[in-house]
Amino acid sequence: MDFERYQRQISHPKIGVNGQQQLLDAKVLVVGAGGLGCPVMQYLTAAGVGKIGVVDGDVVSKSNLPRQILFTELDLGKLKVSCAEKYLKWLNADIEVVPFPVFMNNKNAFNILSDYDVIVDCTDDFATRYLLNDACVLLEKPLVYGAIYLDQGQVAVFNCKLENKFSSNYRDIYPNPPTKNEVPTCEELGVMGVLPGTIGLFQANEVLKVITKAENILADKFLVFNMSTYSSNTFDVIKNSSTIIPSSQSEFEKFDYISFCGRVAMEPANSI
Amino acid sequence: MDQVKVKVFGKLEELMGTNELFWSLPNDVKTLKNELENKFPSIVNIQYAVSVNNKIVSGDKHIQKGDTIALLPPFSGG
Repeated sequence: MDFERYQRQISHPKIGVNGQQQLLDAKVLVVGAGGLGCPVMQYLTAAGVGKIGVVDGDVVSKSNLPRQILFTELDLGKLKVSCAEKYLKWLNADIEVVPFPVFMNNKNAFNILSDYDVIVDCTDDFATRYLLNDACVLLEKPLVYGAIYLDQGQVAVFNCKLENKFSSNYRDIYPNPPTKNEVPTCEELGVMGVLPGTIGLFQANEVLKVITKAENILADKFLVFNMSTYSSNTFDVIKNSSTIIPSSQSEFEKFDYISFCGRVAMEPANSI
Repeated sequence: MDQVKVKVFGKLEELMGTNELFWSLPNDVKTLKNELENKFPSIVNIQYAVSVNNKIVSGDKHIQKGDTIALLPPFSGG
């Protein structure tokens, strides 16, 4: 262990040598190398998380630069995961970075997720969020969720094993996705980089807490933070016994997440 | 008059034009949602979760005087 590098963390009473070793031994998968994924990757790398996988099939575009601050003007047109690998290794050569230059889908999810202890949802669409949630339930892995809307962000830790029980998951809050075009994207709506920066750091913080088995993990909780007013509301989430998730890997791989999340409203979708 | 406080988040805040309102006491969550949809037709067909006193609940949850409700639409941005 590089005591000089991690001295301030080791000095922290809640981390110590043991906590630092837990971080160095941890394997974290960041799905989405965008506004949320960049700060998550940067802070986990700096903190010394031993292995970081990054999943994103996209290239860096100019409109990414105001919020995806891992990337520079020199990276335009290059694969995000390749740029991320280069910069993260410059930041901390001790850690392993594994780039996955693909978009996650229900055919590749099990393979990619299987090697990791903690999964971080930094995606920007409902189909990938639902499939990540379901895969993490089936694979029994904790999922650190973050999502943003205009000046607000949501954070939660789903499916986290605490006292031999798995905490609630995304479908316990939202059993079904909204109809197509019901929730505008950041592209349509606009976003300032400081919001995903902040929410991404909340997610990175939860990853560190899960790895070091800290108290107050946002499991069975749902945090909504307002960047404009700084108000924060935390809600309790309870498991919903009627929540339906594919029952096996083969059911998961047959489930059509794209049409599930792109469905047209047939009936009032808000009957809860 | 018996009232509940309703906190509004995300897209619903724009559609309803406020982040907080007071509403006369409904019987349960489902009734509240129907009443709000009548007053704010633009939120019909919008999906959202509902909390009562900071607990996310289902539609048949009974509501009492003085309860604080939150309307929580899903976010997708990242």
